[in-house]
Amino acid sequence: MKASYVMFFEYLGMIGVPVLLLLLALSALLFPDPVVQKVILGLIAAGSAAYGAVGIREVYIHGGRKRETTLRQGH
Amino acid sequence: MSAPKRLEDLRGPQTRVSRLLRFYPAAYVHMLFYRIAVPLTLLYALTILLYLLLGGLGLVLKAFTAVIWALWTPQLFAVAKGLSLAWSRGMAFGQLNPEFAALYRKRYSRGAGLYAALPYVALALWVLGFVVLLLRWHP
Repeated sequence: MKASYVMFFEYLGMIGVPVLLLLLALSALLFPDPVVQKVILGLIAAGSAAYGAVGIREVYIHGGRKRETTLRQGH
Repeated sequence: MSAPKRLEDLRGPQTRVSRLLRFYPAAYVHMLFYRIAVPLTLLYALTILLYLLLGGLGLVLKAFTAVIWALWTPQLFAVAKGLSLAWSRGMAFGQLNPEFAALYRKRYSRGAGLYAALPYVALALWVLGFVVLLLRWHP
């Protein structure tokens, strides 16, 4: 996969979502404010959607059997 | 004239992730969890949106978060390991030539250092966060 803006989103999800999930746990422990938690959840939703969309592209479109076979035959 | 030699990957097609099991079990676990997580993260994003817009669904969200949390564990470990590898310039988790590694240590007077512990610290925090989330988060 070439370095591109798509890769940026993948890294954003890969690192951003776990950090946000940990923040969610931290906020539940220290300051259980529903508004803060909803904001964090919104960011997690955005990160998950980006990660899922890039993952679908990578695993099921680029990594698909058809494309791999085509590449191997040199077309 | 003979036919051109057909290229064959002896490890099998890349789509069959179980091929990794024989020579790289950690990568197999990573790929397997990644493949399961990919469609689920999209559903998870949708669940959060429904929760934020319509309300209710608290228990469903909590259960789904626990599943996503578990599925993300190998990814988190791999990312932390990769970052340690890069930040320590291959000294932690790298497979450097012993001579090169010794010269590097002599030249820069530093080895793997704390980078070797980073993935395990990240994993410990991750597990701790999971327990806190289960006990203290009530959406």
